[in-house]
Amino acid sequence: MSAFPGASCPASDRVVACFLDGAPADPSEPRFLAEHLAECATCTRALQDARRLDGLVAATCQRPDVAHEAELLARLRAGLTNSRPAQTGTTAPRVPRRRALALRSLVALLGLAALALSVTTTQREAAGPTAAAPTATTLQPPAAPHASEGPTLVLPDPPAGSRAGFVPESRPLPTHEVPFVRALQLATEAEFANLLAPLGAALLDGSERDRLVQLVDGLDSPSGERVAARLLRQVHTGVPWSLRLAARLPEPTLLRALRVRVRGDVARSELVVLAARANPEPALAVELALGLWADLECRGGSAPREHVAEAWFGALPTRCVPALVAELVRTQNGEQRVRCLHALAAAEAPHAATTLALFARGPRHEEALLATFALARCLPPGARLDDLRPAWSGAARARPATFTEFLRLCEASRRGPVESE
Amino acid sequence: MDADLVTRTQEGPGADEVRLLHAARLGDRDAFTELVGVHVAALHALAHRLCGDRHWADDLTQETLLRAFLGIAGFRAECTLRTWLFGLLIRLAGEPRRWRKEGPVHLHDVEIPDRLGAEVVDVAYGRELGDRVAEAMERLPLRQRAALHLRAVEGLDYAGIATVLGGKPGAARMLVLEARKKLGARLARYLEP
Repeated sequence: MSAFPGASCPASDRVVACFLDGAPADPSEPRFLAEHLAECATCTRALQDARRLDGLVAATCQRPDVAHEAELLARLRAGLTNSRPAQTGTTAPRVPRRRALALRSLVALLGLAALALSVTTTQREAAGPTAAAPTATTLQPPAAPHASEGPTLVLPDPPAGSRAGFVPESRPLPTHEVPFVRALQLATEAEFANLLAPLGAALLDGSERDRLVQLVDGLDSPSGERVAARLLRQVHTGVPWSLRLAARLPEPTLLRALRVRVRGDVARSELVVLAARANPEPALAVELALGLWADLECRGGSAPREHVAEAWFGALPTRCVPALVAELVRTQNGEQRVRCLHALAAAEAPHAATTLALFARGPRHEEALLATFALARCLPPGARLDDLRPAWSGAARARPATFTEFLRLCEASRRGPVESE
Repeated sequence: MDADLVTRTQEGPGADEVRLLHAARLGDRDAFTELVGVHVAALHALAHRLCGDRHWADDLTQETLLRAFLGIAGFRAECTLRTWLFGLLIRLAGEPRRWRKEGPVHLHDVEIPDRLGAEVVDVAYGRELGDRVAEAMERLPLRQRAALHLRAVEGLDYAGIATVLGGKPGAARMLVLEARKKLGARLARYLEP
């Protein structure tokens, strides 16, 4: 064993400081120490050892790889967004074409549901108008000169023979119609429903519905989004006309409204799950779910995201798994990928084992470990390694270093609370 | 912007960095991200050295950069930006029990080697050496560990280390030399020619 010679020669520290760290005590020291170094084996060894040590420290320094560095930067950007109040003005998000296609399926789903509800609405029409006049005393839209019966709404004269409602032709938004939609924005939930309820029957007709959609869409983007989001909220409460109306929203508006709805109440994200299930194309369903998830992550939120991840990704049908795996492999967002793995494991869906086995063979430590752990959780109590299904045992054997860890995780996962005797 | 500051910053960093710094001071997040992006790897490496854990290092790096954004107005370019960031990180790392791995290892902290197939002897030896160095470094006091890392990995001189850690170059010299001695004692067998 070699002795670190620092204590053997009083000049060793000065030699190392001068020749390795480039910090001589004075300008004459290098020449003096060089002469000493030529005669002192102890100091020579000390300098060599110090160089080797520095080399070892540098060689074992763990720098993030390119992907990890990109993740750190992405996380920084997200953190910077949340570190200050959000910037003013909402810029309309770009709607990828594929996402727009995904929304068509949502619209189709809403349309199908509307058909079922239209029967109920027709029965209500036969019974007569049921909606009451706006009960809110704090909000009254300005009266129009030729207001129809019922609630006071700012509406143009209906064409002869048509129901009370909007003129169906497409035309620039008249000034006197704006207050009505403004009222929609300002109304409470009850007021909102009451404002539109008298038009419920009329809104089922294509012309009146189109007009209201135009009015909603004609407002500046944030206002239109809020109204559209409120319409979606009415969809959840089962108001018949709202479903038909939401189905007519333009796709960009619908997507923005969906985002507003999900951001405002992520725990009730049935619409996302609904859209994913209704979408005939799995890749688009996955893209919609992941896109909204990324939006949620960027904007922050107080709801526990693990539960949201479980709800969203765990509810994806089996046919979406290959698309989900492909997207997860493609995405650079490691945190998103890990959360998806958590969700798949927590959901314990039938397709999860296949996905988890794929990730257990992957190159990323954390994900492979998560996937392996999730697989271990899926094992029935008392199962032995030999009992593993071929896919799982293949995944474990593909990573010999993980194999032992897999066994340990199996035991840990089966180690439940101590049963009282 | 202060003319003296402009002069000082232009002597060191390039014009691009000056422009980004100015924009970052005005709250431009993109400019700040671009400004610090080149330092993220070095920050994370130092954080990993101090925490001994990748996930804590992620968090420490993130916290450092966020605080840097909030306090960018306080950067007076008396040192390089990297040095300033290192100083922030080390001050954060010094907060008691916040960033240090303590207690039992949690499941997700387990490092799984990425080698498949049969292990070659030299590969196994290399991994063992890396583990031994990491263990020896972890046993050093925080300031000595940081000082040696800054010297051996980042190439800072004693004055730069003193700026990061606070104090004088002479104290930084002692930290580096002491760290080497302790490390050498623990890794003596690996230093034999």
